[in-house]
This record gives sequence, structure tokens and C-alpha cells, in this order.
Amino acid sequence: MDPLKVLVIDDEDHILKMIKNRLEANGFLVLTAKTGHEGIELARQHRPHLIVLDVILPDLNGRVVCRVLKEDESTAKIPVIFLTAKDSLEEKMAEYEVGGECHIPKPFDGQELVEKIRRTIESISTFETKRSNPDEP
Amino acid sequence: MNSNPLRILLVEDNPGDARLIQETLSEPQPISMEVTLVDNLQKAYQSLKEKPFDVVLLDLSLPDATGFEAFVWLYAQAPEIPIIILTGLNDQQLAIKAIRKGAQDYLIKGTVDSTRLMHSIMYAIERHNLKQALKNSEKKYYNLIESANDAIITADAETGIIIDANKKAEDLLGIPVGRIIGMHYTDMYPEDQKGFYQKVFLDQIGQGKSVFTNLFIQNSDRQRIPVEVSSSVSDIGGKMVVQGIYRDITERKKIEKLKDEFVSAVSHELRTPLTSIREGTSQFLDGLLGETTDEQKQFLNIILEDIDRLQQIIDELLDISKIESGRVELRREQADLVDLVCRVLPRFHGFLRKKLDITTIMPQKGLKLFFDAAKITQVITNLISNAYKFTDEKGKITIEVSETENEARICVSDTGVGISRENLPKIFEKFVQVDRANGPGIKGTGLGLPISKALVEMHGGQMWAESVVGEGTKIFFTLPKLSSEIIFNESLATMIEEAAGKETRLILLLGIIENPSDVKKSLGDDRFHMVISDMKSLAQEGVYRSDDTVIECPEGLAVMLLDTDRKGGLTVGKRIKKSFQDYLSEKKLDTVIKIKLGISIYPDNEKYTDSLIEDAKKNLLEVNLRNVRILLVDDEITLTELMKIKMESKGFKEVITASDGQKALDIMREKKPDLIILDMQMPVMNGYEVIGRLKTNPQTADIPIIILSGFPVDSRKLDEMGTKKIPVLSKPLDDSLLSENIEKVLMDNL
Repeated sequence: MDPLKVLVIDDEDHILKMIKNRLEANGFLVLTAKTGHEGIELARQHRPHLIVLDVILPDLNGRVVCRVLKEDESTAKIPVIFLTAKDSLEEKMAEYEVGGECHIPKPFDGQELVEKIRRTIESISTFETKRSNPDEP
Repeated sequence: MNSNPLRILLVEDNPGDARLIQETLSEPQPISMEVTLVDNLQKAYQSLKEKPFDVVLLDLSLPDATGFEAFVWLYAQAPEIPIIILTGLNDQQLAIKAIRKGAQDYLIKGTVDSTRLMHSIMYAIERHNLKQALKNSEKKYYNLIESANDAIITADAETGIIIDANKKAEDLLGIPVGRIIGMHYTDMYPEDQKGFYQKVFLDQIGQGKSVFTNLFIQNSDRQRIPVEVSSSVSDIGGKMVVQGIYRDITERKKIEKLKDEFVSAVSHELRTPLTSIREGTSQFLDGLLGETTDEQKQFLNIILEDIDRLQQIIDELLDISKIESGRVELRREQADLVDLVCRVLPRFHGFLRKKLDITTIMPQKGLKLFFDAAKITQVITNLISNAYKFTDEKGKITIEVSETENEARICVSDTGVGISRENLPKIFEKFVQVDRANGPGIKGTGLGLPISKALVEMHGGQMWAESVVGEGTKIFFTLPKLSSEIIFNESLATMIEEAAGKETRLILLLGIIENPSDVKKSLGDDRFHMVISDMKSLAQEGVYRSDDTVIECPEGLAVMLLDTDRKGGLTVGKRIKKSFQDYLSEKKLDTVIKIKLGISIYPDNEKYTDSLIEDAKKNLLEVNLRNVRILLVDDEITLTELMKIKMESKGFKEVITASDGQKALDIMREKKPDLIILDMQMPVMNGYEVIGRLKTNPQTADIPIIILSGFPVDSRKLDEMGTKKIPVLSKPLDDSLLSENIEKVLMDNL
């Protein structure tokens, strides 16, 4: 089976490095982006199985990035997990949990993040057994 | 009685009259008297300067001044001394005039006996003292009002006209006091807030209540100023007045905003490095970065534990700061308390190292009520982890959920160390950690319980504790059972307040279920709630934004959107409506449940909760054919006539026809249609030109069009005109296709 592809969008180098290391150790293929725009571009190009998205980004708010992804048919079905620094957005973000996606407050437990990513991808793929592979012609 | 003699200054130039008065005064009196006689006004003035007098008896015909002027002059020199006028029989008019100007009494010479004179003097002094006291208190009041740091504005309750304002009001409004007085009180408010404040004001008068609220006023530069108002109604001499004290809170708002930003920034700045520290440590520990020895692992575990503690401290400090500044809002939704406890418990089984017996006693059928699930989860988690901290391995924790008619009650009890009687009341105080020496040495922040208590109290519930040292502790809390209607109204009122504060619109979308009681009966309560909860999830998906609220209401469901306009509201409304319909038909419920969507906008349509709800019930997101006027433009008159008849039979309110483009434009100037069905090939003016003219005129630019054409349409030409995609139907016409398109176009243009 091909490795699961995860796109991580966060402006903090340290955090990107940590998450990448943790996910790769767990067998994921990891793409990283440091801005919202770059993230959206990568999501459209590679259609990852899941996106880990920081709420505070230098160019776009993470919520805006999510909205753009959800409004674009090619990326609408990719589940998004938010990383939040749990400030005043905390309560508002919690609503996304209802929509099937979730948020993980910083600082997070790396292994929990891995579990959450696995569970989310699993729950989506049970609904969607057939998944088009964009890399194939 | 006063033992000092009464000091009387007698101003009288006629020695005979003077003697007469002196003799009268020398008769035995209850009080001793000391009379000083002077024979002109100048001397009187001198005497008044030299020593104090209690009263002046003043003759009005003096050598250096006569008549009324004599009184006026003396009164001006010594307003603090009561004056009694001495006058002849023929001068009574003058005396009365003097009394109106401030003299205390008048005596007619020759008619005065000792009692009458004494009487007059005593009353003059008393009355004068009273008047002086009144004047002093008036002055005190005036000084108080004028030197007050807040604007004080008084209005006539009946007319709303401002009758008094102080200096600070002038500063606040940037309008001179003279012009504030006479303004209507609503003139102080920004245009969009007038209605709201008028209602507050009228309610207040109706109920004679005091009001304490925050609102905006507008100064002479049309700047909005946030103020805190405390206003009260009172009856002043039979006139009802409303007195408002307005405090400018611009600075306070600025500081609050700064504090918010600070707290949020600090939170972010602390958490981000903490994330790398925690995850880095964790990867070490998990062996991702190479082998670690047992001793290294032990230390890494200690580090992790303390990182988690640091995180908790940050969380709790932020929580308490938000609660204290009133910036925590509840999102109450119907949920099951038993479910919630069941979901919280596994979190403890997983990562607690101590194995403790946790028992639950809960109603089997569950316990549904309205509360903020995230907040109550926080409370219950906190209580259980507290119980856990102070209980040793052989101990037991019990969670009991029960209900009475009006409330749910939760009790978390442990068999731990307990809390001494004197320390029990302290456990809800901030930063207090009691009996820690007795505990198993687990450190906390001392904020968990105060936060929990505050969260429960925000729900209208209570929290208390019982404990016996050595036996254990029980913490109880209650949550009131509130109806969806109360919650909805409260939530709508809060949103209105928020919108008013942010000066933005609030869109209320109401999902109205027809005959909800019948639906409930045919589906059963449980199934009905399941459907509602499914539709609620659909609506939540449909709003996209996390600031928007979806809540159950007596009508069905309500969606509240902030920071958007009518167009945004309609887009969301239509999206939600479609997802409702898809859901209902998929579940084969579309015959059982009929749902309509209504919309109302604060402050454009209505300003209060009740009227917004009523307005939303009337403004449905539906195309009502009976309100639709259609303009058919085609040179084939037989075709337009045929279509007209068909459409009228379908129930359209009005179908007008025009045989060429120019005529169509002429008709439109008089009657604006809701939809134009346009042929492209026409004499005089063709379809393209008609569209071009319509789109360049703002009056007609938004009228939807359906093109009906026998020939292929030049879409490039349409694109160049910058028109949005216009639906094109080709002749010969398919009736059902036309109806479908009409409905879709009208729906899109609601």
C-alpha cells in the first residue's frame, strides 16, 4: 500500500520539523508548507490524504485557508486538522469538531496527533472507498 | 433656647417711629434683645460691616435713599441677613414688592404691638435660615453636578426633552449646555441605535426602574462614543424626569482590548515554543532520535510532566482572566449529561498511572438538558482529576448524576484525605491550595475549582463542597433545566448585543418546521430530536464560519450570522435550505416534515429579539408566484399571448408583454418587473442592446433575465457586456424547462 500523504502547514520551522519527523517515523509521507498560499497550492497539486493546518499563518488565517480548500471541489474532501495555540479562538474552533474535522491545541502530544490523523483518514475512507489518484493520468 | 441676645439693626430716620419700636421691643420678651439704631442707609451698611446682626428692620423713607431702592441696595450688600420692612399705611404696595424680591416680612408702623413684632422677627429669622439652608444645599448639589466626572443629563420623561445638563455633558457631546437643553434625548444617539434606546427608555419609565447599561452616543463630530449609563426615573414636583449619568468608557474599552490582545499574544508566544519543547522531549522519550537509557527516560518523563503542568497553568490563567473580564460566552445546546460523563471517563483510564476504582451512578435513560458541553466537560474533568489527586490507590471515586424537577445535580465524591472544616470554604478561592501537606503531593494551580465554580454559575447553577477529614470529599454542582425557548431568546439577545457593540449586522435565519407538534407525534420524541440534531449538523456545515451560531428554537432551528450582509445571509440560507431538503428526501421524511427558511436582519429590518423572530417568520426564502411580475419581450405576438395565458394560469401575479426592445424599456420605466423573458431577434431594438441598456442603468441592472432565442446566442457578446451567466432557452419552448428556470432565477435573486 502506498504511504498516506499528509500536508503540514505551519509557519514555525521548529514545529514543521518536529511534526515531519514524528509522522515520517510513523510511515507517513509528509509535505510541508510555511504559508497559506503555498499550502493551498500544494494541496491542489498533490491532494494529500489529510492536512494539518496551523490557525495563525503569516499570510492567511488558517480558517480562511480551510474555507478556500472546502470551496474548491478538488480539495473539498480532504480532512483538515487544525493546530491552535488555544487562545480566544479556542471555543470557536471547537465547532469544527462537529463537522468531522478536529483541532488539536498546542502544545500537543505527538503520538496523539498521529492517532488522530490515522482515525480521521480511516473514518473518511470508510465513506469513500474509491479515491481517485491525481498522480495517475 | 438661644442664650445670646438677638441682635437687631433698626434703620429709621424718624426719631418718633424709632422710639416707638424700641419701646415695643423693650417690653418683657422671651429672648433678650440688643437693638442698634441708625438713621440712614450708609450708617446701616457701616454697622453691618462692623458686627453681625440677626435681623434688620428697615424703614423705606431714608434721607440717603428712599423707597424700593433702599431695600434693593441693602439686600444686595447683605443678602445673608433677613430684612423686615417698616412702612406706612400708604406704602403697602411697595412693601409687597420688596417681599417678592427677598424681604422677609413687612410691618405697618403704628399698628405693631410687641407680640406681632416679636412674631415677625422670629419668623423672619427662621424663614431666612431655611432659605439659606436650601440655597446652600442647592449650591452643593450644583457644585456636585458641575464638578462630576460624568455627564449628567436630565430629560422630561413625558416629552423626552432634555431639561438639564452639566459641564461634562458639554465636553462629552461637544455641544454647549445651552443647546443640549431643549434637544430630544434621542438626538444624542447614533441614528441606528435610536429605536433601541428609545425602547429601553420607555420601558424604564413604564416600570419606574433604574437602568444600568452600556451604549453608544454620538458627539457633534458624529463620532460614536461608548458610554456606561446609569439612569433613574424620579418624580420632581409632580413632573417625571429621567436622569442619566453617562460615563465615557472609551479608555476602558481600549484597555480591555489591549488586555485581550496581550493575553492572546502571550498565550500564543508561550505555547509555540512549548510545542517544540514538548514534542522534542517526547520524540527523545519515544526513541525516535536514538536509544535512550532508563535513567534518561526517567528524567525525560519528569520534564514532560512539568511541561504539561506549565501548560495547564497557562490554560487556567487564561481561563480565569477571561471569566473575570466577562468574555466567556456560553454556547448552550441540548446535550446528554450522562453521555458527557461517559465520554470524559475513558480519558482518565488511559493515562493515569494510579489505578483507582471509579464508579458511576446515573439515570439509565440519560439526562438531556441545555448546557455548554465544552465548559461542563472542563468542570467534570477538573472535579475528577481533583478527586484523583487526593485519593490513594485503595480509594474510590464515585460520580453521581441525578435530577429533580428543575435541575440536574452532579456529585463527584472521593474517599481521599478530605478537607478540614476551616479550610473547606477556601477551596473555591483563587490560588488557594488547602491541606496540600496531607495530599499525595500533587501540585496544582489552585485555579481549577474557582474556574469550575464560575462556569457552573454562568449556567445559573451552584457548586458547593462537603468533606470529612480522613473520609473524603464530595463536590456537588447543579445545572438548571431551561427550555429551548429561553436559551434561544437569551442567545439571540446576546448576539444582538454583540452586533450592536461591533456595529455590524446580525442575520437571523429561521428554519421553521410546519406543525411541529404533529411531526413530533408522528415521529415520536426521540426520532424528532434525532432529525433536528441531524439538521443542526447540516446547518453547522452550511454556515462555514465558526463565529456563526446554530441553535434549536421553538420554531425548529435558528442560525445567527455576524459580520455579513443580506446577500451573504441569503447565500447561507439557500445552501442550508437545499441541504435540509436533500436530507429530508433522502430519509424519506419530505412528506412528514415541511421546513421553510425565513430571514431577518438586525438592525436593518428589526432591532429586538421578538420582532426579529416575527419578521423572519414573514420573510421566507421562497418564491411566491403571486408576488411576481414578469415581462415577456418578443415580436412574435402569438407566442407571447400564448405564454401569457399559460403563465397566468400558473398563478403569476402579473404578466406583461412587449413586442420590441424599445417598448420593453418604456414599460420598465413604469413597472419594474421581477423577471424578464427576452427574445434576442427583434425589430427596432434587439435583445443584446436591451441587455446592454438594462445592465448600465442601476435601476434595472439587477433584474434577472432569461433569454429565449430561436438562434444560437453570441455568448462572447454577452460576456463583453460583463453580464453574469444568463440562462438561455431555445425555441421551440419546453414549458417545464421554462418553469424550472424561472423558479431557479427568482430563487437566486431573492
